[in-house]
Parts: sequence; C-alpha cells; structure tokens
Amino acid sequence: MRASGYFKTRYDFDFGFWETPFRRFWVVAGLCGMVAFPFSVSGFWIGVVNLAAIAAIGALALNLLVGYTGQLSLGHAGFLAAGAFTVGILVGQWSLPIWLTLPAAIVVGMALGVLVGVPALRLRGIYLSISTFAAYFVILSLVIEYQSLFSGSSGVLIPAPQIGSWIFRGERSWYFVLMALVGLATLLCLNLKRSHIGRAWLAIRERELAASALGINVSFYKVMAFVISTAMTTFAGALGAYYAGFVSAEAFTFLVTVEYLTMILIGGLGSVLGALLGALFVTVLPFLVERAVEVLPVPATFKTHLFAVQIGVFAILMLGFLMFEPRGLVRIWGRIRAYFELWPFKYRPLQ
Amino acid sequence: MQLAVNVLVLTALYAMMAAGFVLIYRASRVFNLAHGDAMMLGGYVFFTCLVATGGNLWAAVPLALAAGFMIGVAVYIVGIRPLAGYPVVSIVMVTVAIGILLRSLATLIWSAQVRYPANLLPFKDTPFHIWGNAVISTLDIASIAAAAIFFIVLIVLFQRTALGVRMRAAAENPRLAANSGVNIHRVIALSWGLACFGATLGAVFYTTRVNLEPDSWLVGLRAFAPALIGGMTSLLGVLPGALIVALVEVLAAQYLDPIMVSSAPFIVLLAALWIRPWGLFGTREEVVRV
Amino acid sequence: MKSKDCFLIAAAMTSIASTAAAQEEYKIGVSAAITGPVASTYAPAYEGLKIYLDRLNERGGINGRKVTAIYLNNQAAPPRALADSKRLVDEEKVIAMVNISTSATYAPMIADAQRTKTPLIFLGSAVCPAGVYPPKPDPYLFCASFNMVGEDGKAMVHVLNELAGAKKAKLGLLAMDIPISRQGVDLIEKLAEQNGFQVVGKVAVPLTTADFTPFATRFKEAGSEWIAHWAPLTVGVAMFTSLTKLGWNGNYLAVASPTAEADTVTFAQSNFYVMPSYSFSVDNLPVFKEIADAAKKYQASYAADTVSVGWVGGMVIEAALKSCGWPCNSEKLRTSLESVNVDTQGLYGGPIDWSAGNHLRSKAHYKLYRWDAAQKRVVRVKDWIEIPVQ
Repeated sequence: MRASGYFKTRYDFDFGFWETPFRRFWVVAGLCGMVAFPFSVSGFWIGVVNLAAIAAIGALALNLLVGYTGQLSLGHAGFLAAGAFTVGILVGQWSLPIWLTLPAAIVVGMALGVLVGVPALRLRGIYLSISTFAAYFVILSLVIEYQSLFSGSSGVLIPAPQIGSWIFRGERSWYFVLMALVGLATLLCLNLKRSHIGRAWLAIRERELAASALGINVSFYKVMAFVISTAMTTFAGALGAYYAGFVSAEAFTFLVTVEYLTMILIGGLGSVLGALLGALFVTVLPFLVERAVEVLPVPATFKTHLFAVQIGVFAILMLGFLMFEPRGLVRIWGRIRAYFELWPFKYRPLQ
Repeated sequence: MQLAVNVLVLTALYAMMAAGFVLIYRASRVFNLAHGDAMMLGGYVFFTCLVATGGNLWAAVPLALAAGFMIGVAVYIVGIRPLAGYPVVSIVMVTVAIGILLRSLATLIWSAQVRYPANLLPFKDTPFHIWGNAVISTLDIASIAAAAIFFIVLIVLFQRTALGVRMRAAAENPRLAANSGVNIHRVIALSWGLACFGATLGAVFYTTRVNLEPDSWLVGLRAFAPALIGGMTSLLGVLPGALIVALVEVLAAQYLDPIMVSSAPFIVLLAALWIRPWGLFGTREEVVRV
Repeated sequence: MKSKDCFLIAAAMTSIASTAAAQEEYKIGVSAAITGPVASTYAPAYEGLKIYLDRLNERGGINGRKVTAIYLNNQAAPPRALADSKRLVDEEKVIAMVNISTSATYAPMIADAQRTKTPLIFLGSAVCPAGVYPPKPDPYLFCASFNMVGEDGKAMVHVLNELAGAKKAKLGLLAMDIPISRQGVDLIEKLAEQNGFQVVGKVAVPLTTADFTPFATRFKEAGSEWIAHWAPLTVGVAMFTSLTKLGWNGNYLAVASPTAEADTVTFAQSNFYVMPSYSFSVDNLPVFKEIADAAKKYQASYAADTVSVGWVGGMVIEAALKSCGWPCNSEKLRTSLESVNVDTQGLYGGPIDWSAGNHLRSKAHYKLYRWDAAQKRVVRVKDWIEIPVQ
C-alpha cells in the first residue's frame, strides 16, 4: 500500500516486479546504472563491487536460513570453505572444467545441508547455533587436513575458468557475470518468499508449534531451508575460489561468519534487499576506513594497526544498528522512500 | 599417571573459563560469544599489572580480577541491558560485536606482540615429582587450587547466602523476582561481573602457562564445550563437563593423529548435543522454546 | 606576442617540472602481516625494512630520488592480501611488490605479479616459495628472506647429526597445525629417518590449544632425547616451557624467528638451541650498531635485534634500484634484480646473489646458538654451508 504517485490497479500488481510505470522506470534506470558503472570507475572499485556481489549471494543464502526461517546458523564460513575446497580439489586433482565444478559444489552444499539440518531438528535456539558452530570447526579441520597433505602450503591455485575457448578473467567480465548471478539469486529468493515454501518458513520462524498445528510439516521445511541455504552458500564459496584464483583454509575464519551475520543484520533481518545492501555495506566498509585513516588526523597506532581499527569500526557499527535500528538499512531506506512518496504529507493515511 | 595430572590441570583451567558461560546463560539466557575476549582482556590487564608492579603477584592478581569484574559489569550495562526483550539473535550478535570491539581495543593499546607473563613472575615454575613417575609444577597446583576455591565460593554464594538466592531467583524467573523486590538489574550485573572474574582467573593461569596475544580469545571460546556438555544452566555441571572435554583432549593429544586432535572436542560436543542437548545437569525445558 | 611566448614557455616548463617532480621517486608496495596471530614473526622484519628505507630517504635516496614505499597490512589473511596486491598494482602502479607474511598470502600476490609483470620480492621471515629455486625460477619471484623450508630441514638434520648422530638419538618433531608447518616437519622427518634417526613422536599442535602439557607429555613418554620444531617460534616457546615444567632434560632445537634471540636469553637454559640463518646481535657486528641507531631514530616498536632481517631486505632493494637507474619501470627492475649481488655485512652467512637461474641465493648458511651458563650467548657452529638445490 503506497500513497501518492504509485497505484496498483490490478491484483496481479501485488505479485509482479514491474507492472507499474513507476517501477518499470526505476528498474530500467537501475539496469542502465549497473551497466555503465564499470566503465566509469577504476578497476579497483569494480573489484570491490565484485567482492560485494559474491558476498551478496552468501548473504542472501544466510538470510534465507537465519532471517526468514529463524534458524541461527554460526557455521557459514564452514560452508563457504566447503564450496571453495570442492572446486579446489576437483580442479587441483583432476582439472575439471567450471561447468562441472560449480554444480558439484551445489551438490556438496545440498549434502551438507542434510547432514547439518537433520540433526538440528532436535535442537532449538542456542543449541542449534552451537551445533552449527561445531560443524564449522569440523569442516575446517577437514580442509586444513586436505591442504596440509595434498596441496602446496599456500593453498590450491585455481587457473582462470574456461568455457569452451573463452578464458574468463578481468574485473569487467567478472562484474557482468556476477551481476547476472546476483540477479538470479535475488529472483530465487524473492520467488521463494512469495511461494508456499516462504510462507511456511515465516510461520516456522514466528511460532513453530502453531505452524505445526496448522499442518505445516515443520521438519521438512526446516531441512529444506538448510539445504537451499547451504547449496547457495557453497555456490558462493566456489565462485569466490574462481574469482580469487586460489583456495586456502586460512581465509575462512570465524570472523567471516560474523561478517555475513552482520551483513544481514545491518541490512535488515529477513529482507532480500537488506541482504544486498548489507553485503555492499560490509564489503566496502574496510576500504572506506582505510581511506579515512589516511585522511583524518589519527594517532600513529591507527595506521600501523589498521586491521584493529577496521574491526573496531565494524563492531561499533554493528552495535549501533543493533541498538538503534534493529530493522536495519532497509528500514532507513523505507523511511527515506516514505518521505518522498508521502510529501507533502507526513504520515500514511489510516487504513 | 602423568595423564591423570594433565587431565586434572586442564579440567581446572576449563572449569574456570566455562563457569562464566553458565553464569551468563543463567542470568541473561544468552550465549556470550565475547567470553573469550573478556578472558583475553583480563589477561592483558594482568600482564600490565605485573609490569607496573614489577612482578608483585599479591598486587597484580587482585587488581586484574577486580578489573575483570568491572569489565563484565560494564559489558552488561552498555551492551546487554539496553537490549532487554530483543530477540536472542540480536543479543548474541551484540555479544559478538562487543567481543570484536574488546579485541580491537586490546590490539590498539597493547599491539599484536606476543607477551609472556610467565617471565615476569617472581618465582620459577618448579616441577615436583609425585607418585607413579608423574610431574606436577607449582603453577599446576596453583591452578587446581584456584579453580577449587573459586567453585566452592560460588556454590556457597548461591546456596547459602541471601544474595545467592536472589541471583538464582532472577535467573529462574526475572519477572517474578522483580515483582518480589529483587533488583534484577543489579543482580544480573553481578552475574556478568562474576563471569568475567572467572574468565580473568582462567586467563591468569592460561597466560602464564602459554602466552598472551590478541588471538587468545579463541582459547577462551573453546571453553563453551564444557559448559554445554555439563548443562548451560548448571554450575555444578561445569565440573564433569570440563572433565570430559579435558579427558578427550589429553587422550587425543597422546594417542591420535593431528586431524583428530583439533576436531575431537567438537565431535564430542556434537555427539552430546545430539544425544542430550540440555547437558548432563541442565534443565530440560531450556531446549524447547514456544 | 612576446609576453604570450614567455607565458607559453613558462607554462610548458612548469608542467614539465611538476610532472618530473611528481615522478622523481621509486614506488614500491609492501604487504606485510603487521597484525594477526603470527605477527611477531613478520612485523619486526617489516619494521627493519621501513627504518632502512626511512634512513635511505633521509640521506637523499638513490641519486637524489626517494624510495616511496606503500605499507599495507594483510594481517596474514589471504583475502586482504588479494585486496592489497590489487590495490598496489592496479591503483598505485608500483614497480615492485614485497611480501612479508605467511605463505597463505602468497597465491593472490603471485597471481597479480605474474598478471601485471611486476616483480615480487619475499623478505624477512617469509618462507621462500618454490618459484624462486634454481634451475628455472619464476621470472617475477625473488626471495631474500632467511626462511627456506628445504634448506632449514637439511641444516637441522646436519646439526642433529653432529650433536647427536653418534648415538642416533630418538627424535621428536613439532609442528603447528597449519599446512606449511606440517609439510616442513614431514620433510624433516624424511631426512632424519634417512640419516638413521628414530622419530618417536610427531605432533601438530592446534592453533588454539589451551595447554601444551599433554603434547609435551607425549614427547616425554615416547622418550624423545632431541626435539626439533619447524613452526612459528611461539609454539616452540610454549612447548619448551611445558617440557621444562615436566622436568624433561633433553635438548631442543628451534628454527629461527626474529624474536629467537630474546627468547633464548629469557629462557637461560643451556639445552635450548637455535639455528638461524642470520646472525644474532651477540656477534657484535658493526652493522648492528647502524641498525640500533636507525631503530631509535625512526621509532621502531620492536627491539633493534629483531629487525635485522628486514634490514637485509632494504639493502637488496637499494642495490636493485640503484642498478636500475632512472627511469625505472617494472621490467627494467626485474632485469636488474637478476643481477643483484649484495654483501650482507655479516647478517647472513653469504651474499644475496641472484641470477637468471637462481632467485634465492647460491648457498644458505646457518649458525647455531645456545645459552652458555657463563652469562653469554655462545656461537657453537659457525657459518656453515648448505647449497640450495631444487
């Protein structure tokens, strides 16, 4: 329900993405902006956006599980590692091409989803998150073991992916592919939300017992949430491996899980747009802090311990959002949009 | 026999660190992921006190413990109390954020250099040979004694004193306790302070045994396994929980390959969660939240 | 007309002068583990390099041109190394990159160095990667650090042979549960067994161990007479402390790390041996006075005796840039790096001599130190030669 300037005249408009002229205009404008972006900034910033895009896919996956179904998972870094190492093992040992390794990563993700999701049916809340935390450690031990025994000590090097005769490298090429993939992932999440699966998940999050009483097969939908989420996560991990060009166990610390959780929290728990905004925000933040430290007058220790400053700012922002804007960036965006839509009025009319 | 001594010492260490998890869970129903960082910060304060007082343990240890207590209370007042009533996810993330902030502060103040508080101690860690070819050192004995005293004090506090009864009441049913005149904020702050006190005590013994660096928080975080296995709501459960985890670790270190050593405690944890999620002595109703 | 000509000439000269002034410096990029779990292994070397370059610039640089180094902290984390190297080559367009960090950070930097054809130099305590070894090193990778897996292993076995070979002692090996340390220890195990030693215990300690005593017990119960480690020194220190606490009286051989000298002094135990491939300050070389002065002047936060390995890196970079001349770009620098021959003034056992077929050095040298109860550090086996081969 919106006020001035935006009217839905048919029931279909409630479910569609771009029926009204208002929306159509902004979707086209957004697409044009996305296409023009890589040609107007330096390669470095395109790289940052690429990293944000890969993070966005991971954040969307985590949002499905944590934000939408309400299952707090602390094992995200483990699933990313699993996806990356699937690619690492398949490429390193048998040089399989990308169109085999990516589906393989998805299959591994689904298997992991079942492995972690089924035992999790017995657990709730804190205990569930602890079991995912333990799962993270176990996966990490396994990949460290693999790396110690079978690969070069600096990890597995992945050559640039090759489809047919076209070798795939360069920030711009990656940008367009990643944007397409993020678009697909977003569509997947939005469609899931609007379907009976999404409604079941929402019910499970709010009142599990009531959902079960209404006839929703809670166990089935919970496991499905795990499976879809981990499959997307391993896919993101695999993409990350190809993009970075190497796979290394040391890249998957617990801080990575915390970063992804922050992305969906800052963005807005349960919101697809929130996951995207949060991913962009959290990815770009360290670089902004770096520039800020260079420009502002700060004590010398800040420059030598830049990492500590970056995570400190990260933590302060997390606390700020959690305390003052728990519904995240999406809410802030909502307020800005409402201001412009409702102007010159201040409040929505009562329904 | 040496293995038994090792298990005992490690149990003492884990028990001191894990007590904090249980105290906070009982008080605020939250899994404090900042516990490791509180331990690390306590270790740094201990180190600074040692440096400042020139190795005077009688001054450094109480100062560090008092600082640890203050840190716990401060974390509660700044981070947890404003978020009373918010969903669990938010509060857990707040603890994570506070942990990261503490780590960032520690790195900025003390730099990332590895420190060795053991070198500042006024005495040398002498080994004593006891029966059966086993060796135990002064610090080992001190850690076992400290853990024992700490637990005895805690249990006496909770079972016998009026303050302890109030704390248990606030932990079990905050609303009813508040209605009955218990100042729950003060009492819960006290729980948080005690938890970090325990973490700092553990830190004193860990840093003198191994070393001190900003990444020591990972060690403190391992202590959640004993708390879980014993039952997150049971203080007495921490002891058998710590014993089990210590036993698994020592046996794994002695007999197993590297891959099993790092993941053995977590496999035990996963098994425990699956078989008996509420721990050995925890309350059953904690598992299902309706 | 005249004033217009004057104006044009003045404008032209100003623009030439300003562009010349803006580019009159050598730009290199450094990605180091200044903070992070193993920072104490790498951060002192980074500081050594920094104070050397600061001193060089204050003395006027190389033929009047300063060396500008961009220092980035990759915290020993691969994703940050990736971001760092992209920034250095794509945005800052440096003519050379330096890595002083863990091997986990190598892959992204190597990829970018090869992509943009920028030379990448490993300094300080960074383990020399396989790509710098003869006979066919990677054209863009160079290593002047003191840390060489294969050679460390051979040297350790050689020392063990000398000190304990007659009795073919029982050997225990210690690693940290990170891939590179475990691979280093596997190599030492193989060499030791070839030399007739009996390896009674091989332990990989997890990163977040609460207590080293169980592992120390394992070594003790297995009857290890000598224990050697190939891991960050913090692990060795903790293990040695636990072993001493258990009353173990075997001998411990540690591979070096910048803080090794200070640790040996702190332990004050005569059964703790350290085997660095660089000199400790007790050898009283004149270059140590220079380093101490620079450390004080440029406010190094690590002690002067830990930064010497970074100092060597500075020497190498100065020599390479000098022979590159002006203007210097990455391709030219690469060629001049291949002809570097730097006298390390006793800090290493021999010169850093690079050639087209060898980007490491022709010989690696190790010294052996331990604490002598007569209140000083004793140099046991001096400048001892090992030839690096593939």
